[in-house]
Amino acid sequence: MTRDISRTPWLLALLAALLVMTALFALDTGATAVHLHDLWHPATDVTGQAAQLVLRDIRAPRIVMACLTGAALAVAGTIMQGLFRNPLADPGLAGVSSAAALATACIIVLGGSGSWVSWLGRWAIPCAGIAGSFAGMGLLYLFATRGGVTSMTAMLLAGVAFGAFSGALTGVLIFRANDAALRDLTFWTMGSFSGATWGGIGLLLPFLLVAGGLAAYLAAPLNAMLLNEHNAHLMGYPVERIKSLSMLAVACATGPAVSLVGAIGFVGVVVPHLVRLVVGPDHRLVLPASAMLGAILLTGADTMARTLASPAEVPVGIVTALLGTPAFVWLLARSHRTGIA
Amino acid sequence: MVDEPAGHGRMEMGRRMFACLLAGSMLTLPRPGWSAEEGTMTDCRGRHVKIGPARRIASIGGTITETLYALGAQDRIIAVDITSTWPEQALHEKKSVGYMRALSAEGILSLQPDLILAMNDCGPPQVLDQLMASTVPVVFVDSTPSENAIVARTRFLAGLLDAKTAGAQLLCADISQHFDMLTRWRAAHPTTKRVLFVMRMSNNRPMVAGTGTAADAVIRLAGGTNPAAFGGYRILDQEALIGLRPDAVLTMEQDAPQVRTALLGNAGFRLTPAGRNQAIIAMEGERLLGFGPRTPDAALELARRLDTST
Repeated sequence: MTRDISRTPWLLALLAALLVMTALFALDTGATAVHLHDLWHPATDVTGQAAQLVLRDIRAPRIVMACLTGAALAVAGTIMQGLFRNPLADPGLAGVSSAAALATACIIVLGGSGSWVSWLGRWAIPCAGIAGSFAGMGLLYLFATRGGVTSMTAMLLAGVAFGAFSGALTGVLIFRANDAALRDLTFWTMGSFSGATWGGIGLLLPFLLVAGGLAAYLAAPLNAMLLNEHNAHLMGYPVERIKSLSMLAVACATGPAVSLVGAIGFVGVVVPHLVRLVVGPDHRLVLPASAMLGAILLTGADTMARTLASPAEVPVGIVTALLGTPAFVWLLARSHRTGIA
Repeated sequence: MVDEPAGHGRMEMGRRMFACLLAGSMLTLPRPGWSAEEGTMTDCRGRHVKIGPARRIASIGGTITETLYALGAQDRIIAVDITSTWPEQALHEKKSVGYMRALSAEGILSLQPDLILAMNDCGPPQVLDQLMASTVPVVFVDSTPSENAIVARTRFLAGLLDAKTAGAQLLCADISQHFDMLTRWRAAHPTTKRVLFVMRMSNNRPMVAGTGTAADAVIRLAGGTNPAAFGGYRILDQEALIGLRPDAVLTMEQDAPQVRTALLGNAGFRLTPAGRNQAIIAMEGERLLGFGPRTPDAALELARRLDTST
C-alpha cells in the first residue's frame, strides 16, 4: 500500500509506449515479406498493392482486433475480480462466455436452417453470441437479485451452475453435430483472429466504448467495494447500482469480443494479477494498466499464432493458455510464499 | 523404312487433331469450365476467374490434391491442407496451410501461389474474402459427394490445368470405365445388403454414419442400403445396433483392428447378421470417402466384397 504514487504516470506511459511498439512490430511481422516501409511504394506498383492488401486488409484489422479484445478481456477480468473480491473470478463466471459458447454452438450446428441465419450470413455467429452473452448475464442477474439486492454469493454459485448447464446443452449440440461442425466448434473454443475484419471491429467498438465508459466510472467505487459492500455503502456509494453497472460492463466487454474471435482464456485472469503486482490494488491504475497489458499480450500472442506454424495458423487460445498457465502457476506460488494474494 | 517417319508424323498429326477436337468439345461445355474467353474459368460459385499458367497451386481439400496428383500435376502444387492424406507423400513434400476450415489468408499468400484451388466448404468466410480480394485467382471446386460430381470435378480440374494432356483424358476414361463396371456388376449381382459404416469406436460403442455423409453415399453407390436413417454421425448403443440389423460393417483400414476387436466383443453386435458372420469390411479411408478419382474403384471393390461376404 505504501507504493510511490509518483511512479505511476511513468508506468502508464511506459505501457502505452510498449503497446505502440508491439502493434508496430506486429504490423511489420508476418508470413509474407511485406513491411511497413512498403506502404511508401506507389499504389500502382505491385509491391505497393501487395502492401496495401496485406497491411490494410489482413494484418491491421487483426492487430486492432487483438488489441481491443485483449484490453476488453483484461478490463472485464479486473472488474470481476474487484466485484467478487476473488482473485480467481473471470468473465466466464458471470455466464457470459458459456452463454456465448452455447449460442455460437447453436448457430454452427443447427445454423443454415433458419431464414434469419442465412439473412445475417457470416454475422449470424457474432450476433447470436452477443445476444446469448447478454441473455446469460441477464438471467444470472435476475436470479441473484431479490428485493433490489444482488447477492454476489448467489451470483457466483448460479454462475457455476449456469456454466455447467450451458456446457451440457452445448454437449447435446455436439452430439448432434456433423464432422465439419464439430471441427468448427473445436476451433472456436481455441479462438482465432484470422477472421478479423474492419466490419467486425465496427460491430465490436460501440460495446467497448460503453464498457470503457463504465469502467472509468466504476474505478473509484470498485476501490471502496474492495473493503466490503457495507463500507462502500457507508462511504456513500450506491452499492446495488455499482454491482449492476459492473455486470453490464463485463457483458459489454466480454460478450461481443468472445463472439467475434472465440474463447480466449487466461488474459482475463492473469493480466489483472500481473498489473496488481506492480501498481497495487488501486482500480484507477489497475484498470487502464490492465487494458494496455492485455492488449500488448494478446497482440504478441497473435503475432506468434500467425507466424509460428506459417503458412498454417496456430489458434491464439493455445498460445495464451500455453504461456498463461505457467505464468499463473508462478503467480500462485509467489503469492503463497509472500502471503499476499 | 524411309516411309516410317512420315507415317508416324501423320499419325501424330491425327492424334493432335483428335486432342484438339476433344479440347474443343470441352471448351464448348456449359458451366462450370472454360468460357469462350481465353484463360477464364467459371467456378462452382458462378464466379468468373482469370487464371494464368497455374504453376504454383495451393490445393485446399484432400479430393483436389488427390485428383491433381492423379493428373500428374504434383509438380505444380506448392501447398496442401491437412485433409490431403492421399497420396501420403503430399503432406510430406508440400507445405501445409493447416486445416481447410481454419485457413490463414496471409499464410497462403506468403507462398506466392498463382492459383488457389479450394473445396467449396472450406473457410472461414472472412479469410476467403481476403484471398479473393488479392491478385491471386481463387477457384472453388464443388464438394458434393456423388457419382456425377466425381466425374465433373475431375473434368473441371483437368480442364483447368491443361485440357489437352493425355493423362486427363485417361483419368476421366478410367473413372467412367469403373463406373460402367460398377453398373454392370450391380445389374448382375443385385443386393439388398444392409451396410453400416463405423467411423471409429467411441468408449466401446460404434460411431455410425447416417444420411448425408460420404459413407452413406458410397454404400448406396455400391448397391447396399444404409440402415442408419439419422443425419450425420451418431454413437450407437447395443440395442440400437441390434435394431439396425446390419448384414455387413464397413470401416476404415487405419482403425480396422480396434473396430474389429471392439465390435466382436460387443454382445449386441454378435446378435446381428454382420456379427454372426463376422462380416467386417475394411477399406482405405480417403479412397472410400474422398469422392476423388479412386472412389469408383473403391465402390466396385465394396460391391464385390459385399457379394462374397456370407
